[in-house]
Amino acid sequence: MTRPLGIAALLAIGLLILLALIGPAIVPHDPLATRVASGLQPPSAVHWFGTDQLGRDIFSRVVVATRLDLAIAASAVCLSLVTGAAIGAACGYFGGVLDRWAGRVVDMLMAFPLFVVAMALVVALGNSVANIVYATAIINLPFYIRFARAEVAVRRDAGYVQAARLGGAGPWRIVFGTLLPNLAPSLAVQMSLNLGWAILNAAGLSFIGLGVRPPAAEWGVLTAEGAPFLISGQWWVAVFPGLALMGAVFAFNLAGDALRDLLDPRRRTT
Amino acid sequence: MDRRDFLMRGAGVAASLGFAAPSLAQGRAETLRVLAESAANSRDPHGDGVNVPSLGTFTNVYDRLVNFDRSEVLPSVYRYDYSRLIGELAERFEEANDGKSLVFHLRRDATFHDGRPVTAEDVKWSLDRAVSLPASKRQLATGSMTDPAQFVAVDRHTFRIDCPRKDRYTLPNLALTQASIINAEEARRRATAADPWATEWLRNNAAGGGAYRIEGWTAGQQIVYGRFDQWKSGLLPKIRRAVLQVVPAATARVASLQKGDADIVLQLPPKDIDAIATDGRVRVASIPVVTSFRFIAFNTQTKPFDDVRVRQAIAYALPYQGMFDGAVFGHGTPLFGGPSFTPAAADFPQAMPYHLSLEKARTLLAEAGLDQGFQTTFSYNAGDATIAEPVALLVQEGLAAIGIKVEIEKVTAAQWATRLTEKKVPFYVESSAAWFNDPDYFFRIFFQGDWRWNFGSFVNADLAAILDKARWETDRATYDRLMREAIAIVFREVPVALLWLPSFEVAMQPDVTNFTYYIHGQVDFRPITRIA
Amino acid sequence: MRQSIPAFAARRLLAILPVLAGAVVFVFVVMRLLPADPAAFLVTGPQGGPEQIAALRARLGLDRSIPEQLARYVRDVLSGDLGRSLTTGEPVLADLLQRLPASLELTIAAFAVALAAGIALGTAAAFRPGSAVDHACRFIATAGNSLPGFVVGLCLIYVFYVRLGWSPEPVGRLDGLMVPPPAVTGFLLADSLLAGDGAAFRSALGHLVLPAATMALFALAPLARITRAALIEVLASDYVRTARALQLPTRLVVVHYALHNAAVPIVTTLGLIFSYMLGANVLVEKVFAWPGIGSYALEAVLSADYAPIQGYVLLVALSFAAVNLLVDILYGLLDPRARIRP
Repeated sequence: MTRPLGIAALLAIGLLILLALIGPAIVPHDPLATRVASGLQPPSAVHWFGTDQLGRDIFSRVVVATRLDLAIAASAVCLSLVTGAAIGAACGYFGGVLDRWAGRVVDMLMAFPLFVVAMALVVALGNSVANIVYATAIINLPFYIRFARAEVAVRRDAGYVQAARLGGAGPWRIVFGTLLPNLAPSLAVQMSLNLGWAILNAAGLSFIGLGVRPPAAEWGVLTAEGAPFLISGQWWVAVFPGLALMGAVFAFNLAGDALRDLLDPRRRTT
Repeated sequence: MDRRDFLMRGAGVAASLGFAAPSLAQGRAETLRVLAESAANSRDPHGDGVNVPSLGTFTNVYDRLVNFDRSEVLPSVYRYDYSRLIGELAERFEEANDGKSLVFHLRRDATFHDGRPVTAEDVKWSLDRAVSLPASKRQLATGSMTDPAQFVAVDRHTFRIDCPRKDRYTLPNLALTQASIINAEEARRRATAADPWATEWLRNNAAGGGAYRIEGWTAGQQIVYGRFDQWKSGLLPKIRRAVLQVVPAATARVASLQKGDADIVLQLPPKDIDAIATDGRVRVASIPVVTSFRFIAFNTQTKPFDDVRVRQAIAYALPYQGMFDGAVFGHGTPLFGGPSFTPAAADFPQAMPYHLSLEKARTLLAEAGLDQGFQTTFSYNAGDATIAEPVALLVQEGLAAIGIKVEIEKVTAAQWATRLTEKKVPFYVESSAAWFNDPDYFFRIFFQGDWRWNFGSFVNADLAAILDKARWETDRATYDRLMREAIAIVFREVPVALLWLPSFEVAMQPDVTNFTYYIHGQVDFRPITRIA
Repeated sequence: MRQSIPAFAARRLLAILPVLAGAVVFVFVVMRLLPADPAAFLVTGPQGGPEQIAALRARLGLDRSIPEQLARYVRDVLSGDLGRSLTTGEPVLADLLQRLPASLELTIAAFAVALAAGIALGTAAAFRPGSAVDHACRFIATAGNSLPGFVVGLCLIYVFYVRLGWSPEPVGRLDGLMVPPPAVTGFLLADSLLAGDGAAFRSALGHLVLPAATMALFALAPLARITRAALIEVLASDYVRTARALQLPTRLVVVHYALHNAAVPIVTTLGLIFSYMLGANVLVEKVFAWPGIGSYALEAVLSADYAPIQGYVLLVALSFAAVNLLVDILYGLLDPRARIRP
């Protein structure tokens, strides 16, 4: 039974979404206001998570970052989901030359050191939020293509597809009207798992200086910029954003796991 | 290639790059372990695409005719003295022909690493090569050395340089790594018709006679230096073996130093230097680099920065003290808030007479017809983010107060160079340094010319005329007067707004003494001693 | 039609050629998209003017048209020349071969740790699905998967090196002043054993622990998950139920029947994870100053150094293909049905 962890994860995701919506309205300090004189102060009653090098309130920055992080992760995953599922489903359904060539291309992409490719893309296109989203989406793409292709190929001749065909539906309607909706639950699982991965990926890019542009707050950037302070003893600069990041990724992963168990009767555990 | 072949090839490469097996484990007093952010990429002092760490390699592996003398600036820490030159390969040297010629008398006992004596022919070949290859040519030209015909091997141990006129920059140029002396015979053997200067070979092989030999070279990771026991151009160094290892993360370098695993650590951000200094287990040396500057540059050729009032307005609106404290934690020497628009001294960089005054800034902006403010982009180099990013954030916040809306742009290190070279950045923070201390030299690099180093793309006919006069001026008082005029122009015109003078900072174990700082900021192993 | 293993392998090898060709061209084009001029980047000081940039561009062939550059690059690659790195000044092939063993050693060590821990967690979970043990296993594995590698690495360094002093300096593969054993395989653990150098072996092992643990943590979750799922399926199968009904010892059931039969899906996932780890260790290598191919590629990307990135991607694609091939062969051995041509 996966309920306790799964429910906790769903609650956590609910909280994250809430913070993303109302976060900027409820934070105690302006997340962008600097006060150099009170830089690098440890957590206190005024600054719950302490302050950073320029005296900005870390608590406020962590809360405000929720929106941007969720937005990056969600748009990257949606982008790759939509394109990947469409390409994959078309390949799986039609098969033939298209499928063979698409398969080759996907194989090629799978063989790539994806993180390095993402790095190169961000370096090439510039480190705007949109480009970070594209880079993350592109490196997720092959998984969705593979996934959708395999699932569609299995169901191509299932009873309900045959029925739709007999009912006079064209191939496009079958793929997008009948097959893809049937894949939705398993795609949802993939999506949930990938959301966490997308956040981690963005954090990795931040660590090598390819994160979102300042002054925007994003957990990965906050953690990466705080990391050098770990060794000199100002742990709070990196630890709190790191915990937020970990919590979010953790919640998405657990939720994905729980969903998977719910949807996949073979792996259902009770 | 099958797996076995592949493994064997791998092993072969590893073996060829590996070390002579015996004894890295010598007495601690005779070894030195240096950690740096990156390592040398060439062994050719005239090579193109040579990075800054390579200059450290050249310093230790090659000799030059002369070297800068040094003076103690902190207890047992030295810095090079630009005004005093001493012989290195040259036992002595003198002027001749009204100062148009310089004559060098070479040490008779000096040899290259292969045992061959150093002769005037080697010196001539090396300098011929230096003025012929594009990477070193431009630098030596600043000292009136442009043509191989100027270099004369008088006899086996006498060498002469003839210049069209007496030039105060000739000698200091000969102390730079671009004037390193190469074993000509060995290099010539490797030259080909297509590559007469053996650039291919020298990039991957050293052919020098300096105090150290390269014993291990693992590209981008580690360089092992062993002392050349027959070195004659100075006192035999105390350090027998020095290892330079690349550790990209500053935090890891700090940790190693504090745990006693590293002896000298370079390229630490001010934050870490502070942490180490308060910790007290290791020693920190901080030396102002008087030929360098950190500044905010405007592209004076593009709107709205072509209007001097806009530049002045911004210079009055910058939160200088906040930047100095927040970005470099007060490490360096402030170059803001100077006393007057008429400079009292002739040296440069010196503090500009701008300070935070929003009222003046608003007035100037209104005079320029921009009282509503404007929008612009402020850029910085991602490779410089530890310092440049806080600066950018504070610029953004500070200029908002006078209605200038700033968007911050972080440019990757690789693109940065290209963008600056193409003059495509309107408003940015950067730092740089010149090799020599004289203000006219500094001005010629940074305030004129159509190249990257004229950061403000500054064009000013008066300044150009002054610099032309100052170039050959030998009377000290006249020179100083000219330079004060030049400095006043820069103060008024603000092609760049000076922030502060950076310091070279190094952290080392307390028993490391006699560290000597050179302008390239790399470690010269030769003078270093360790208290046993 | 059933194929022999070599024929099967040959067919797979042929199939990866287009993949490699695609990789070469794709990366070449992406690199040329970078709006950075390596020549301008390398000319680091005012001693270098426009002439030096021009000379460097000419030497690097950057002054030619892109198709011409590509043609020359392909020609060079076919003759075994991957170009020269600007940041290290060495030929890329030599750099990569010299660094590959370091990355492989780290990846294999991390993989072994992850595999042992993942299978243990997955097995423990599979035998009591839904129990507290199952939840705990899932919690641990997922937590490991939820932190960026660089954060884990830095925390481990802080705790085990700076605070406790249990771990050696997190720099490279050996103690700074230690003489490496003569290179035979390039794997320091193997080389030090071959040379009978106990001190080097201990040092190499000590340096390997933290980075390998950092990487292993990330691979734990998928391994535990796939083991658990595969085992649950197998345990529910007829033959295991039969074996259990016959009251064969649990150990025998688990090791001999269940794990053996669950091996097919596990092996497939393993291949994917291993390849992924080889490409994803970039940040871990950076944090631990590990002289592998990942940190090499990272530096190259940040300094617009084309040749090393191209060489790196080619090498990783090649390794990926090799691992895939290995997986396919293992798969064929484990399950002869896979060798039947579709």
